[in-house]
Amino acid sequence: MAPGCASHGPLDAAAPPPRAQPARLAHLAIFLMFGMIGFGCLAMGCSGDRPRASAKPARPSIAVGATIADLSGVNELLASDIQFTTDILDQLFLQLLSEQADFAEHPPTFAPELATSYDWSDDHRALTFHLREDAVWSDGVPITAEDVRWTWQAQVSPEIAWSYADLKDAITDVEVIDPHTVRYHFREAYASQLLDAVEGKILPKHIWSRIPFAEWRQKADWFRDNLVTSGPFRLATWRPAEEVVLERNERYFDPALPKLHKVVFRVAPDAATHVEQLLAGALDFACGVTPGDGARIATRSDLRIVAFDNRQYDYISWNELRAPFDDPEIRRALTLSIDRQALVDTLFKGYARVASSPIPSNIWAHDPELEPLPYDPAAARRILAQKGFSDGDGDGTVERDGRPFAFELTTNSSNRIRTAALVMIQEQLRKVGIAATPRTIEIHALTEANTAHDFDATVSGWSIDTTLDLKPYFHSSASAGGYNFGSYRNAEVDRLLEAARRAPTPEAALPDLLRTQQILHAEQPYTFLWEPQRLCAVRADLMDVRPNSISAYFNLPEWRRRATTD
Amino acid sequence: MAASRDDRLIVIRALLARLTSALLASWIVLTAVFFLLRLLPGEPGTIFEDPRVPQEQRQRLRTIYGLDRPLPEQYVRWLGGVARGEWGYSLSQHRPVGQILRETAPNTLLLSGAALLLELGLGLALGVAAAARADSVADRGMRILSITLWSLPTFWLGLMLMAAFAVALPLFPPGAMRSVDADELGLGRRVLDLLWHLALPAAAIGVPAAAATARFVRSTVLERLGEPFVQSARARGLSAGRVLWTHALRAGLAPIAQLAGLSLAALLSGTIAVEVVFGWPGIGRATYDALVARDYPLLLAGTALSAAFVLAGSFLAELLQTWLDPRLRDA
Amino acid sequence: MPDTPPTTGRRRTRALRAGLALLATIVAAVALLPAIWTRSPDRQLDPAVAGLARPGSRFDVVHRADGSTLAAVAIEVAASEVVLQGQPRPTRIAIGDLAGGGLGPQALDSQFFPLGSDEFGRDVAARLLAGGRVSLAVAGWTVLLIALVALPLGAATGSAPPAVDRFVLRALEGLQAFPRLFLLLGLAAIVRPGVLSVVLILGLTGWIPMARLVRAEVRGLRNREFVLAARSAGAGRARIVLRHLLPNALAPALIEASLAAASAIVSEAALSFLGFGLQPPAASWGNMIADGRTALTGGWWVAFFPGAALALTAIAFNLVGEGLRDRLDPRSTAQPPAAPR
Repeated sequence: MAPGCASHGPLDAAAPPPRAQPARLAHLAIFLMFGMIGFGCLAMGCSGDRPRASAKPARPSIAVGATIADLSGVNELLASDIQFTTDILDQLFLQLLSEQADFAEHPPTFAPELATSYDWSDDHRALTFHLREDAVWSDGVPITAEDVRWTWQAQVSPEIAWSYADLKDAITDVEVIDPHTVRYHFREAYASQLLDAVEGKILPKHIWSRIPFAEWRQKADWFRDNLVTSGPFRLATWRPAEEVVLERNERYFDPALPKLHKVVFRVAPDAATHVEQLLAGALDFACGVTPGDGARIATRSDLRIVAFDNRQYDYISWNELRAPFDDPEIRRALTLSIDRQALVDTLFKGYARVASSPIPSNIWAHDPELEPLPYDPAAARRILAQKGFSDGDGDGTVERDGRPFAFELTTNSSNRIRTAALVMIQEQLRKVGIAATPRTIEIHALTEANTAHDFDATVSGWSIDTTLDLKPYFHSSASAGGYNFGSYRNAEVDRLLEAARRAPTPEAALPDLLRTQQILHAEQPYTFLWEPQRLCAVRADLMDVRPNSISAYFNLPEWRRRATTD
Repeated sequence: MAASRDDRLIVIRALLARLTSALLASWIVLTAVFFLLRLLPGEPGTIFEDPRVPQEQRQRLRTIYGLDRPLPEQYVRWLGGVARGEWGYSLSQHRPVGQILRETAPNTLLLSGAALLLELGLGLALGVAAAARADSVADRGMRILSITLWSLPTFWLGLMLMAAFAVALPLFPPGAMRSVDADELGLGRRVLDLLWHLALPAAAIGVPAAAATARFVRSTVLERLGEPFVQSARARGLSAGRVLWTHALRAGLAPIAQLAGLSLAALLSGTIAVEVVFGWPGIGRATYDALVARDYPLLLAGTALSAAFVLAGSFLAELLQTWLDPRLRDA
Repeated sequence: MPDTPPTTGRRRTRALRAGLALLATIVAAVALLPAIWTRSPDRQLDPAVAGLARPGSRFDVVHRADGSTLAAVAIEVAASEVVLQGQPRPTRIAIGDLAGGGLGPQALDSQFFPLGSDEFGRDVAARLLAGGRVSLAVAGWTVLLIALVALPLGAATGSAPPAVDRFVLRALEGLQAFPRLFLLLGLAAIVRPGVLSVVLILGLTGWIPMARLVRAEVRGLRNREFVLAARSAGAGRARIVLRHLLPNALAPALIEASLAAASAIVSEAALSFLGFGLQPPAASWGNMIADGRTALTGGWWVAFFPGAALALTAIAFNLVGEGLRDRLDPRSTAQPPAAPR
């Protein structure tokens, strides 16, 4: 920066080259700026976002994890829209019974939580729960049957308008027998009575009843400021868009749980940063890792991957209002043309299974006889030829009656795996002479288009719940404005689904469900694609992490660090 | 030179007139945005996406949130609420929008402020240095560097900075506003922690802006240097450096202040992408999340607030310019 | 006598020439290279092996008779089979199962990734070229739209009575107060994404600076001698505007157009990056950067190259703008304003 020589600046006219103050100022400014940054960096050790606790075993045990979504509220009746909120509320509040994730072989069992036992009346229309006597709220007030009754009133209140209030439709009354005994009265006996009664967290009447139901929706933030909980953890801190901190609830009825003192969830909407922070040692766990990252993490010795089943499956829905998708044999040919195993291998690197049914294979009611249709492009070509499709003009696409077999295949742009699948499916279909054009659409626009049947074929997915109710997807009544996007109609399937819903026990519904699956397999209203697993990446010294298809954090109270004694 | 109070008053009155009409225009745009948002496909809030929620339930929720009223009526209610300072209720976060804004606005201001400081500091320094060496090799080099830096897209720069200095070389944190146990630190260390997290995002926004400012500063300073009063000061024997500092720069501060105010609009536009990339909990990110979730009240409020910042910034800049402009001061 | 800063004419055109040269190179590359580099931007080559390959990687490719394709780091040819190394396990394929039934070029091939591949095995270079076409087209059309809207509006405002002019100016200032990206996002969510809609919303949110510039020029020149002379000679308003005022406004408008192009191409990328602009699987520089974001650790090149291309294009447009400013708008270099042409 030596002045003089070649510079012909206006200042040089009559004076020696300027050792200008501005130049010094400039230097000072720059120095200050970098100094500030550098100093801050040095002060923090320049070594990444490391939680101190893991360096000092003497302190209470902490685990730090990441989440993409933020908590959307603390009151389940107002904010149960995202999975993460449900996961956290599961740790904060108690339910009467806790549904177990053991439904691979049989309908789910229930473990005692707030209720230690229950019994039925002879006509199976009254269900009595016996509550444990040592359960208290985090402010010390005992949890009683009054809380249970009041919670039910809130759940069915039209002013609060809980989204799942219809689950309680068959319950006529919840009766307080004594402070630790409560009885549910049903209008009739049916299969999922227990599930319906138990659904929903028990809320603190003594505090939250201060707000009349009509004002609940407007005062959702009040509940956050007046939060009392009953579960193994309590909500220590919640900084929206930044972090959610759970701490051990000293008043929880089981003194051995939780084993961790504190669990921190950092809100990071970018999944890529989760992996970064894991690898850098700043995080102890991150659920929702992609299969690609999973493969990378699995090779490290300080981290491990825990893969677990989900209740989800992805599919292609064919719009039966548009020819030729109205012909079940053509739909079959389409499925035969798609190499689903290759999709699974490429996109999921082994962390998924090919799907064959709307009831995923890890659920008891899945038809074990069902095999996914094979990948057989030759057979597909034969079927198309039989149906009158041929490539008359040699352009690579088959036509029938002058109309080429070309359509638009859509999916939501936010799902990278589905988006990549579109391209692979396009390529596979091209080989049998079908021209599919991929198009990704923003999720809301896509749902709107699908519900209005304004699509040719769409790739999407469902998460099935344990009631195994398939009506919203395959019943003919769900076609108008419902989620039967493809307008599938089959009178027998309608009948079977209605009968399954009315069955007195889940096992009694099994024959109908099996038959339904077989019909759907034959008619292929969906081409069933895959059942993805979910992946949690966990630090090697974080033990007993057992996520399952109910929640990734199902057994969070049992998680522990190897260094601590139990 | 009777740069009297009358002159000042005229100028201030003119400024106020400009502000009022700008506010009027903003209100019109906001109204247009309100109605346009209703064209967004999809229902507000993710609750409507769950197939297990029956239609009657959805209708009930729509009624509770007032979404089934005719659009003009919804508009009037919203406007009335805004006049009272109530921005409505967020459909995705289930709490008052005002609260969300109060939490996120300071974070965005912090980020924009840091970026602005970086922009002005670096920009002034480089611009003056370039002016002092006009037409030298260094000047031309700086010109190319400026144009290069200023053309870089902020979101990509942010991503690359993160890849280089947070991932490849773990010098800075890969996102967020504070460390995990920031609460347990003392005030001093908390401030340092904040600065450490602020560094990369502020650089992503501030460095390109600084390059543009440097160009502007350089040409403004050079322009002022050509003016008679500077020449006369030189003729009186003042050193080049002193002339530069006391006269040229001071005179040039007025348009620079204007630039600062105008930069605010560009900076705020830049913050959305950077906030999303770095996970910074500011208004930009809240508004973006609101857009994705079709949360109209939050979306409208976020947009309105950003526009308000910009207007405030340019108004402030005008005031500063008036105050600093030597033509309005007493001789 | 005022000092004239000694920026010589020679130096003044350097920026312009550099900018034009860079721009021409980029446009030529994007337009002509696909004729040589014919690989499809959508073709996925065996992601398990060729996914996230570093720039400069080469893979041996095996085509099977059933139409599938596998990649390998190396291939060994044995008596009756080929063995692929680099697959999750060494894979053996009988020679009879290869395309064409033998070891000919139908069956064995190789693929080179000059700029690496993304996680689905797609060639970054091919996607870069395809994306470039789209992004440049969007920028070009946007500037055209902006000019079409801003020139008449600016001229009209500039030659309107002062009260109208003031009102419109304030309105424009108010409109400009909205951060552009917010408006872009909102509009992009409403319309069906595609090149046309992106051009429309970029144009409709970006015309104000040029309009204000044209207005200022027209307004400033209104009272010049040559205009007064024309008016006293009986020329009508429209004629004055079209023949005298507008041509003088073209110079700054051209500068602004160049800067607007830079802004448009970056804004389109930002929009696509945030998920609202041009949608995948069609490549655009913006959504390539978005894709690269998730692969940042394992594959920095996926986000780096499209961003670098974007930056270079923006630099080129800005250089052209700066260069034009040097030549056509001397005011900014502190010389007294040039006489009207």
